[in-house]
Order: sequence, then C-alpha cells, then structure tokens
Amino acid sequence: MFDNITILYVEDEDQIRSVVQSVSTRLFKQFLTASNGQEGLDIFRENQETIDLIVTDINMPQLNGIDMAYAIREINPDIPIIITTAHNEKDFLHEAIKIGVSAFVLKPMDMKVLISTIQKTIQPILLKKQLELEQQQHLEERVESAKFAATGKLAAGITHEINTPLTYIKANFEMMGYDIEDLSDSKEKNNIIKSMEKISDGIRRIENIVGSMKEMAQYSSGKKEDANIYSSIVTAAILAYSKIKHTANVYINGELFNLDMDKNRYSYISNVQLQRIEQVWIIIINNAMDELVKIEKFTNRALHIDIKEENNEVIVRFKDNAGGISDEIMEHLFDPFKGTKESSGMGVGLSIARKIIDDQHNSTITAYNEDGGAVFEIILKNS
Amino acid sequence: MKKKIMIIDDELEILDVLERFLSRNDIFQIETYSNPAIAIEKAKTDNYDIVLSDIMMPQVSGLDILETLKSRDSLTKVALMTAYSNKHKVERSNELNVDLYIEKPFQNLRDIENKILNILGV
Repeated sequence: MFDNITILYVEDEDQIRSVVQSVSTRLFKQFLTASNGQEGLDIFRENQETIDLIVTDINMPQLNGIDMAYAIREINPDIPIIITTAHNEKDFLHEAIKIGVSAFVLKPMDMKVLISTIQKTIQPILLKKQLELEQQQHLEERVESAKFAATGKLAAGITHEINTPLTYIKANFEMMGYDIEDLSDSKEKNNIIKSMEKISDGIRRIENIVGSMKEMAQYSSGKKEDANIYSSIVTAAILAYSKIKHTANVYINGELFNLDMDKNRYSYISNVQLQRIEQVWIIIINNAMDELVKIEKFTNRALHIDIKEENNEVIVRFKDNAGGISDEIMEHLFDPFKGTKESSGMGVGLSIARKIIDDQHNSTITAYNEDGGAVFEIILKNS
Repeated sequence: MKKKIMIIDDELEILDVLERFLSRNDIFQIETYSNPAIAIEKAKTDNYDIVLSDIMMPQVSGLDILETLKSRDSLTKVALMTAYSNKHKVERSNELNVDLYIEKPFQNLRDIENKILNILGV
C-alpha cells in the first residue's frame, strides 16, 4: 500500500506502540518507532533522508511530542506530522496548530482512522515521488538513447575507415586468385588455394560486420519504411555477435545463426523505423544472453528467434531456455530499473523496447514463460 | 578501338587495384586521378568513354563530376562508386542519370568489368 514510504512513530506507551507497529509494519517500506520525544528526535536526525512522515503522541517523558515536532520542523520545515491526542490534552492543541501539524487522530485510536489519515497526508508525497521517478526514468532514457546515437556515430566513422582498406584487400585478393588459377597444378598451388579459402572466409566475415554497421549508421532519419524484419533480425544478431558467440547458439527461423547468413533468405515486410526496431532486437538478444550465461554448459543454452506472418501482422518470437522469468520480476518486467540487472546499466532496456514497440509502432510486446524459458513476443501490426 | 576510362578516387590503393585489374583487358586505355579537382578540369576538355568516380571525396564529389559531365551533353558514361548506399545520394544521382552504381567493397571485379563493357556496347 505504502511500499515506498518510511514512517517514524513516536509513542511512550509500550502496549499501544506495539499494537500499532504490528498492524502497520507490513504496510510501509519502513516503520521506525521511538518511545519518547528525545529518542524520536535522535532517530529522525539519523534517518532524515528517508523518513517521509511522522506520527507522534503528545504527552511523553523527556521530550514531549510538541517540542519534538518543533525541533524536527527546524531540520525539515516541510515534513508532515500527524498528532495522536486524547481529549484531555486540549491545552496542547493550540501549540500544535501553531506548528502547522498536518492532521490529528483521536485517542483511543481506531487503526482504520489512523491509516486513512496517513493515506490522505501522504498523497502529495506519493505524487511527488512518482514525479521524481518519472523524471529520473526520462533522463535515464535520454542518456541511453544518446549513448546509442554516439555509439552509432562512432561506428559509422570506424566503418568508413575500415571499408576502404577492405575494398582494396578484397579486390587485390580476387586478382591474386585469378593469377593463381592460371598456374599449373602443383602441391604448392593447392596449399595456396587452401589458405586463400580461409582468407576469403575472413574477408567475408569482416565484410558482413562492416555491412551491418553501415546499414545501422545510414538509416537514422527516423522515418518509417517498409523493411524486411527477417534481415533486421540477422543484422541485430550480427551486431550482438561478440556477445552471442561466447554465450549460446542462436537459431533464426530454425537455422543456426552465423555471420555468413543470407539476410534475404526470408521476406517479412513491415512498416517500421528500422533503427529503432533493431535497437529492440538487440536489447532482447542481449538480455537473453545475460540470462543464458547462467546456465552451466554452452551446449545447453539456446535462443530461438522465429519470424512469421499472420493476418497481415509480422510476429517475432524470442524464446530462450534459461529457466524463465520469476513472478516477482515478471510483474515489473517492462518498468524501468525493475529489470533483472543492476550491474550492466541496462535496467531501462525493456522499458525502452516497450516504448518503441507500443508508442512508435502501435504494436505489442509481451513476455511469458514456456517450457523452462522466457518468451518475448512482438506483434508488428501492418495496418 | 580502345575505350578511354578515367578513374577518380582519393584513395590511391583503390585507383591502383582498379587500374591493374582493368588494364589486363587490352581494350581499356586508363587514366587515374586522386585529385578530383584536376580530374573535373580534364573531363571538361578531353573526351572519355566512361568516367568511374568515387562519390565521397574532399572538395569535389562524385555528384559534381556527374553533373559536369551530363550538363556538357557529352556522351561520356558515368559510373559512381560508393561505400554507403546512401538513399539521398542515390536518388540525386538517379536524377542526374548515372549509368552504373558500384558498391564498395566490390562484390566481384570481373562482374564490374563486364558491366562496364556492356554500358560501352562492347
């Protein structure tokens, strides 16, 4: 109910304090208690960053509730204070009003009344917290997207620099091949041809990676276009290759992913912002790799990506076998900072993915568990 | 009759490999330029059967060369080479009537040679 709220409750009567505490503890993030005003003030000083609200009795030994409230208000003039009071404490009311306490709860206390009073008092704080969270999320998303853009720019620059030597290495190599073909057959010629096949393979792999980076760099216009979703998946996998190759086998429409894969083997056309959509694929692939790496053996880890077209919709399904997503995480899976990873700085990944799919493409992304693995399903609507 | 080719690229190694490959065919008479500004002046006065030019070069771009040649109403064919299949530039050069597009890295030199011969009607 108030799972992000911390309360300080000050009451000198042990019995009342323990009853209120036992009822309230599970409702709040933290329920701190003190048995007199002085102790209350000390606890407040130690926890002033986290305490959101104070509930205090008036008549207490050492330091009474009113004097404690004065002292606390000097430290934090805005903190809401609720006073619990008996009818015979009317003399204090005048003082309490002067401090500007937020509310009174009459003793003997009805717990329902206390909780509803806290709820009313806390409402503006909850709103403020929500707003702060949204602002932080927004900022985080902007940083993430700026990072993506900066990486893209860097990639474009490097790509261009690699492309030129690649062009003349490849062209010279091709020419060399024609010359070697013309040589008369010999053991040496065979050896050279074998080596050339290996080099040729290497060149093709570099070319494939550079090609994917080039593609990625060039469509930054943000406009929607008709694109082949199958090839966008292959491109995303190539861009995540460094992570994939050490982590798991990835199958795209049943075929084991490799750098030489034909990007146009299948055609599933959808009208999308290609760069953003590829960002979604990369986020999901990276997340899957982070989960799969927890499975002990490489041979036991797999990610299946299947693309199909149904009723004018392109459906992309990512299924891993990393044990699935726990209920606890599933509930907040697409919320920022609530994901599974605290360390990689990508706690906002899936929230960005959902934004791209929901808001920018009017399509859907869902997650569920199946056969001991997590499934992410994206339906791209083509209407 | 020999076919006169002008190749323009600011990267010397690209010029080198294209020249060495195409010169294997006796039909070509090849001139190479790494400075597009000099090349464009030369192309204004001399006649070539085909000009092969990179698009992205400092000072003068392949598109400038294409425009100059086509506005001269010359019969010179133009082939543009590019590392980026940049849509905007492709559209612009299509407007200007480019005869051939060559992407870098080259997929296959023999294929390029055949396409050039084809355009020249050999």
